[in-house]
Amino acid sequence: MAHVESDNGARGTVESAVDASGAPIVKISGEIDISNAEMLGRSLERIVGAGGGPRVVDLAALEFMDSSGIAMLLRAAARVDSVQIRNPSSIVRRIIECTGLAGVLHLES
Amino acid sequence: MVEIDVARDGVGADGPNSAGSGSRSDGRSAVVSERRPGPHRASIVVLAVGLAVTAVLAITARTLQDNNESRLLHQRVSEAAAVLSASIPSLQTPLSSGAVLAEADRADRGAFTSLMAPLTKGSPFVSASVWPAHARDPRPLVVVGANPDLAGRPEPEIRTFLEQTTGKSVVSVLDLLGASPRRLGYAFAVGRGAKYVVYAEAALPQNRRANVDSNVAFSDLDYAIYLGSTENPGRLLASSVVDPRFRGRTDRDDVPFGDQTLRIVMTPRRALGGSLLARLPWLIAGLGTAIALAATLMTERLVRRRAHAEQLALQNARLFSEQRSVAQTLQRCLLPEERPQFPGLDLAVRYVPGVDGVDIGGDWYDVIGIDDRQVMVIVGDVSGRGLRAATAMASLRYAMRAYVAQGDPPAQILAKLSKLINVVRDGHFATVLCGLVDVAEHTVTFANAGHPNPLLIDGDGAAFVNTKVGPPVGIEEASYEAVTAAVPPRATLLAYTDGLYERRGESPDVGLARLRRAAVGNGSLDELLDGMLEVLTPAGCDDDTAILAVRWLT
Repeated sequence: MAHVESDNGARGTVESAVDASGAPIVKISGEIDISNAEMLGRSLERIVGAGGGPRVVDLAALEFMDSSGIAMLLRAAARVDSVQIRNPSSIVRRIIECTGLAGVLHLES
Repeated sequence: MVEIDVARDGVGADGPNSAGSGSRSDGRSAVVSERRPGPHRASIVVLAVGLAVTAVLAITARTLQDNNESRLLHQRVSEAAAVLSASIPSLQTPLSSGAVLAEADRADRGAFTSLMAPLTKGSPFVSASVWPAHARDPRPLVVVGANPDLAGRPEPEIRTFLEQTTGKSVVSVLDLLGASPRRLGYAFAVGRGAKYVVYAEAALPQNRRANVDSNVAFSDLDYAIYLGSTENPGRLLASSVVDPRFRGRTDRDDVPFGDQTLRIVMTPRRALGGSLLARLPWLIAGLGTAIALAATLMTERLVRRRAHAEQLALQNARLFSEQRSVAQTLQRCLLPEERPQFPGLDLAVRYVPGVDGVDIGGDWYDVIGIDDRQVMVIVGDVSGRGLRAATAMASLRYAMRAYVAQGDPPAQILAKLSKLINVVRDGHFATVLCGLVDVAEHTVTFANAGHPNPLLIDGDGAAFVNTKVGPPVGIEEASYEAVTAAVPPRATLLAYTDGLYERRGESPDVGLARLRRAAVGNGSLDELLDGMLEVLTPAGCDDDTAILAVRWLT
């Protein structure tokens, strides 16, 4: 689990977990911006990059994400062909949709 | 370029308020140590005050200790004098008894001998005798023990001595110290009418030394006892040392001794008040000096640390402002001229750096003329900030200029662009809106790589142009679909980056709606843009913002 509190106060966490069905997932919570995206991105890639690692990223507890956060998700997605985005907030969902990324970061319905 | 990046990393990692760490602080301490200052004035003051206080305390302790020692010595000398005067009756009593006896039985040998025999075995006397008080030729009438030295004295001296004795009520003491063996003579008569004088002699130790036993009350003192009230070495009776010329602290007292006086002089062998008290001034001096030095060192360190911190703050402030201006200069260099020109169009651009303004951003716009009726307008946004983002932005921008020059249409330009950068490799992706403006046709053909839709403003209000939003460039090789929008006469097209509308914790739809409402007014293009910036980013933008506005003149 990576817990990164950046200088300007962005707090973000990346951790591996299991969902209700027992499948492995990655949980991203807090805030992600340019100040902590790189650190969190390394943890995220380590988790999803492992053999048989989770393909589902749960964003239920994600409060804010800027373009650096999206870049972080995109890099992780590129490592494993595709990832499923679970429980995005309506804001994150709209950001992903508006940016034309729905085809890369698959939003679970 | 590299230097700028290093400096930026330093500020980014440390911030102007933090204490500094890692290689940064190393770099700073090197700068600081260049001018190695001497001790600061505050430290010198602390040292001076500390030492002064220590000196005063030590001197005070020393004075107190001195007074205490003097007082104790005086006390001991008085005690010794009392002991000495208490011993005098032991001489006077047998003499007065002998004198009374001699008067009563006219100097009867037997009675006197039996009285004095036990007292003349060395202590207290070596010799006792009875003398006529007023004889013309004084000779001892009875002698017990050794022969008196008095007998060997000149006749007048003996006579004077005996006659004086009858005039006194105390023991006459005769100084026989010059002779050998050294003796003191004591004489006593019952009074003025006495017929006899009883005389005794006591031997003094040959070397005048009388050691003090270590367990007696005065074992911590050296002493000397003189006959008379002067310290004449010739009249020294006894001393605990060979050379009784004491140095250092002495005290003295006089004790009446028959018709004479004994002078007792004493000096302490060690501190009478105890060794701890004696060492107290030195302890205070040592400890005080140590504390003063420690306080000085601490002050010096604090002062230096503060000076260092002030210097760092100054340095940081300078770096920060330098950084800010470098970032802005670089950004301006990477962006086209302030006011692009194209016939039939009014063009306006704005670039507003984010509030901290330290990092260079990845937002850009471009206006590329193709022929006298077509112009390519571009607004893009590279994710992230910093020199790498700006580098990616520059390469995208110049690549697009090349594709435009080749005559590529917008969708094809973006398709080519999508292969140019890669988020996995470069860490950045970019959203780009690319519009081919046909001035005469009143159309714009848009291709969109993940970018917010442009706003079309005319007399009826503002509306977003629905483009086909494809994925941002840098994610995968993608193809894009172009959409051509018709532009009414004198209408304005507004392309922008997300800094203009995006707020933390707010849906982009809300921000875009606010943006659309703000895009009103019949004034010039500059008035429109300045008014929108004022309404949308009253306290400055969090993020960088680039805006490109195109207005048809007809």
